[in-house]
Amino acid sequence: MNKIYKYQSDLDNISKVCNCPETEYFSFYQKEAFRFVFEDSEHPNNFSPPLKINPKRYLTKDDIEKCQALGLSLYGKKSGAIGRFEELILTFKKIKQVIGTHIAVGNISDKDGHITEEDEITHFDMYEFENSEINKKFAIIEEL
Amino acid sequence: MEKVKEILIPKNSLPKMIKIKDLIYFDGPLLSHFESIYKENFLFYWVDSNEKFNRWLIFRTTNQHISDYVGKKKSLFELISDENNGNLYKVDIDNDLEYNNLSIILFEDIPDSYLPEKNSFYTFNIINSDEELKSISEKENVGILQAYYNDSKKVGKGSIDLEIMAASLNDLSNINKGIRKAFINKEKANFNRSKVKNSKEKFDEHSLLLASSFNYFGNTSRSFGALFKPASEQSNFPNLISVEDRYIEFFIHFFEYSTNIEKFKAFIKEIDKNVIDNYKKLLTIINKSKIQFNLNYQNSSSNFKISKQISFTQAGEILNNINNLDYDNSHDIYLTGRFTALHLKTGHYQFETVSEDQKLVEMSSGYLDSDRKEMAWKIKWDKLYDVVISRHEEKKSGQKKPKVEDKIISFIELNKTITLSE
Repeated sequence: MNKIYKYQSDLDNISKVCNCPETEYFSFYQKEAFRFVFEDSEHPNNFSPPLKINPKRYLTKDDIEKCQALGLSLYGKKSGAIGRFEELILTFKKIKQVIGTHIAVGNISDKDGHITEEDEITHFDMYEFENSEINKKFAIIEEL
Repeated sequence: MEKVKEILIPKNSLPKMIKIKDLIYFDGPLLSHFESIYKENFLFYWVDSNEKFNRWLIFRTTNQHISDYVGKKKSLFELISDENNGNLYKVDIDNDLEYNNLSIILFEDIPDSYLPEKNSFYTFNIINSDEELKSISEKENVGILQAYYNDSKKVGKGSIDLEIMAASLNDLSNINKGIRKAFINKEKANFNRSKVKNSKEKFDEHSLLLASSFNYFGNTSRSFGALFKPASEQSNFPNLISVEDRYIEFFIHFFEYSTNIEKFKAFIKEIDKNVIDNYKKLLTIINKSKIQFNLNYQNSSSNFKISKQISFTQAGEILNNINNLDYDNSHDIYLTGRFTALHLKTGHYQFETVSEDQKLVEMSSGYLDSDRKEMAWKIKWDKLYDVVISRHEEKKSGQKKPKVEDKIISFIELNKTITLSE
């Protein structure tokens, strides 16, 4: 299964320090997923991983962090996403301007990319394949 | 971004700082702990952004306050509003990590939208970052090995199921013992090969033993991470790979190569095969507990770092590889010690090393080769010998245990008598 990732050249650049994301992916076929997005469906940050969003929010130059930043943050459960947002907004009142203002749902499949295993709040990362267009699979369901 | 009442200061006004860890991370750091060269603790707190910059507030705090915050005893609002903090800074950081518009800002002038809520208690997982390991290595001035576990309900925030931890650390320790032996043997063989004839230079086995032994000294908190440092008092030189670094590289290669059967076969030629039994136990724990096992090493002085992760699915694949492993190889082992049993007719012997350090005592039993058998009558019980043992190990696919045969191919009596009670 040697698929080319959407950000393959970035992954190649960090391949000397980590084997991102090959050792991390979790097998699945289809899955419902939730993501924070902006209301404007054309907003460039809606389906961009952190490394492709400007200005980049970093405090150090670290290649391993870059690997995480090439994954798209998704949630397996709406409650997981809402819970995380409610935690963040208590501490960062302007968080919506970087993560998004709405929550969207979509069905992703193993043809879209590799995913990491869900953590305890159902968050996982997706490393999209070259031709993935998951933006077309998501629709807004409510405002944050 | 919000306009704030501020006093701009030169961009190099802050002391040099290193990141200890991210406390809150979502698609990048949001709250991070830094330490200055003067050992002061600072928090970088993200508050705003525009198309060019991310804006951060930076304030001094104490380790105790950070610990109280992470322990949910204090909110972030309490930390930032503490009147003992001293100056509060604001900085706009761009894509190149350049600090722009650094300023001092009074607490009462901070816009409300830049302040956390009064009940902003910590509800996040602490992030286990490379910077944390790097900063520990800098503080300790040695290379640091971290064994950490994640991706399982059995591994919590700074806690771990005791059975997983105890059993896996025991297996890791046994694996290290075997790999260490192979490393010392390899170094000894290299030393003997390159030694000038009649040179009085001695192989320093003891310091190599310390360089390849670890002392546990603490843990990191996200998931569960055990920290180890070499038992040696290594001298770190900038950008120079130390013997400890070289050992760790050898140690991690064992794990790395186990995912590729051909590479693994080549690597284990020189290694005591009991190590594989312990490795199988460790892999079974990883596989059955569905944890990810990670080894990370960093030496901030030599700038050497190496890591290896084994997920539970990979552990299953490696276990299959090991069960199907077949090998038939011989390697030489160099030991110094005494004979404890000898049958002059058959050439069967028992030999054990004599070492001040119990960790190095090694035993071998097998047969003398035909030339050595002829001279066996010369062997004295109270004399020390340098011996070379040819160890032949054979395992066929599906067999659980390898067949091991030792043969002494050289022994040299040393000019040293030992007391038999030694």
